[in-house]
Amino acid sequence: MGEAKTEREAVAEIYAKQDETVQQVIREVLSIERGRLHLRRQDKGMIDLLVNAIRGIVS
Amino acid sequence: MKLLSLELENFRQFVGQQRIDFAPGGEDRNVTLVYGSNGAGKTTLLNAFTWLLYGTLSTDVEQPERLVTDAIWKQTSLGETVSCGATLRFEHNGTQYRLRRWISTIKGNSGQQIIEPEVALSSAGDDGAWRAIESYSDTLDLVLPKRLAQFFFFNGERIEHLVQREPYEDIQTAIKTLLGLEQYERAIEHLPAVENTFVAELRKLGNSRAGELANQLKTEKERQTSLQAEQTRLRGEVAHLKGEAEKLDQLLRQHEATAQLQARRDEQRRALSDAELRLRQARRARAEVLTRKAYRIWLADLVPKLEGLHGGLRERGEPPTPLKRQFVDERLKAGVCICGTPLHPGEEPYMNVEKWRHRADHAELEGTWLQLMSQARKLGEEAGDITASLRQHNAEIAGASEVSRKAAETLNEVAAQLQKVGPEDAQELERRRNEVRDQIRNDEFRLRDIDRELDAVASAIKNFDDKLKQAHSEDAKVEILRRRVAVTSAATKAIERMLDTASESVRQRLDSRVRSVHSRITIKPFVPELNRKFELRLWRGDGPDRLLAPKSTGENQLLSLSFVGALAQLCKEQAERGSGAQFVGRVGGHYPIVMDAAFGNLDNNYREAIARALPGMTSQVIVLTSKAQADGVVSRELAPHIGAEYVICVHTTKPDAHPESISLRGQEWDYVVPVSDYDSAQLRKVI
Repeated sequence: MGEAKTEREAVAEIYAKQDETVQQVIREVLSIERGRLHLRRQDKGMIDLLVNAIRGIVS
Repeated sequence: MKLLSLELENFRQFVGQQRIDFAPGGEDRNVTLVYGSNGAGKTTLLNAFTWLLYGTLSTDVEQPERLVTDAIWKQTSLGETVSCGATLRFEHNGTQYRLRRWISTIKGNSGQQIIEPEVALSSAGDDGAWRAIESYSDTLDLVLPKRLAQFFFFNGERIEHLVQREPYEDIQTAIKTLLGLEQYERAIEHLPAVENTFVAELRKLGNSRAGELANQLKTEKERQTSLQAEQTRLRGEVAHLKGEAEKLDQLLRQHEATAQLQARRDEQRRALSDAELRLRQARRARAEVLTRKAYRIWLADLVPKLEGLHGGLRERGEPPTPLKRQFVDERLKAGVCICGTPLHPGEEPYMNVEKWRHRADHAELEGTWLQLMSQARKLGEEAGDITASLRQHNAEIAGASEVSRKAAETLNEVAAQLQKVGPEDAQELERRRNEVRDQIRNDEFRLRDIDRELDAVASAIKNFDDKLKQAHSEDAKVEILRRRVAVTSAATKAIERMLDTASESVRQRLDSRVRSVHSRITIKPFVPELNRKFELRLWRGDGPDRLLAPKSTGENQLLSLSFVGALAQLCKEQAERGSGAQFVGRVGGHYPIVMDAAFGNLDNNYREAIARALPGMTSQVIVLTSKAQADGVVSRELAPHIGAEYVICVHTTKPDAHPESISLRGQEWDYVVPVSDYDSAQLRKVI
């Protein structure tokens, strides 16, 4: 890969070659993981508490 | 990240309020030099940065719970509140930040305890007012992620571990951090669990072709994960053991009783390594000849066969030659065929024979025959060359094998002798060395096996993946789950490829920058490389015959610094590329280098090379050094770049300490002040 193509462009190329369903899964998974990054410094107990509370609200 | 100032308050040995205003950085006078004697507080200053930013102290800080200056703690009465802390002011991407971390505790009977510090981060708004940032750790992680910070705040003597031990994971991590690819790593970690859930559900639906395939796929993937984990563990172990073996060799070299034998061993090991290299090259060359040219050997008997064929045809008068044309003409002229049939013009026999005359009139065919013969002869000659070349490679292989065998034999003899000679400690060193070498050999064998097993597993996974894609089911539930497993597997594979592609691209950029930085500062003709395994290596030469450069502390330090300089350049470039290059956040920018014990016990030429290189490494450099280490060549090289200078003045209670001072800018500055009331340190700005 030359200097002209950024890593983001190279990754976008791989993404574009996937089936539509696979692309959708990749998008969703990465979005979830990005959201979870903000919780990485909380301890596990706190995350469990939050997750249970959200589940409760959703149900 | 531009460091503006650091304030310390009763932090470790820095009593009361102490402050450093850093040289602002940029093109000119970007170095802040802090002088301090051994134990004065240079390492504390380095740790103040990491404690402020991430709440951590390095492992070499003794009694980390004693954050409050001992004298202040002693002076505080029981039940009274005592506090200590630090404040860092810095600028990043045009915004000014103020970060304060402090502890406040009531003095009890049990001495100082580890206490969770309080943190406050604020940023200056356009109106100049400071505003608190609640999610300080997220902000700091975007300014300078912790896993990147270790490359910019470091101890010079320890930075050489980048070359010595197993840092490839740290380097790989730094690259992923710089790209903001953490969510990709997490996805790869979590997706297999999702896939396993689908497989389990599929199995619950009873026997189906899809269920069976999904289960086999799962088994192979689990095997792949376990092999990869073993590979990572063994690679780390081998790197660590190699470091230990080198140290043991060094000790044996220094041991009087074993030095001579160790020297012989070093010599034989070099011979062994050279012979193995020759062996590998000769085998490669032979394989190349066999793959590309060997088929020509089977064509060697083509020439005699062709000549025979040509001759036979000629004898029978069949080949299209001028002789045959003449022969036909003669028959026509005589009016009798060779079979005795009379030949009269216009009659059928005459015309039949005349057709032969036309067929014979093919000069081109004759020319082609000649060309064919010439090509065949050439092939025949080449076949001879191939045989000669194979013989030569075989001889080289035999020669190198013999040298390698002899060297291995001598090495065994030396090892046996080393176990008997010298005092017990030398024998013990030798025994340990042999154990370590054996372990390395075993691990390397296993690693080769793992490589092969991983190839086989990868091909099995591909096979099951392909089959699963085709294994459509009539049962709607089975079909849905089959598709889910297939899609999850494809998504995992795609994300893995994305991560690898991006990391590899950054590795290449980093590799080329390490080479360029190193070529500017090196004093020997060595070439660095950040290889595909993210290992930092130094080579003598740049071609296929290159050999690993001999290791020395100076070279290791220069190489490690080149890496830090290259990483600093890449961080700057990454921020400039902005959202077009990054995936999440805006990691990167101008980072400072804060380096403790920059010049260690290096020789003058290396100290000079490092001092010359440092100011150009990045936009802002903070060097913590002792007077002795910075003397002479170092101060001469750094002088034109110094923008701020400080002296850590140590007050010691030691009765036998001698007063020391340091002469800077025409003035004497206290360096060590003995017979003080209590131990403490103070920062003095040199003006």
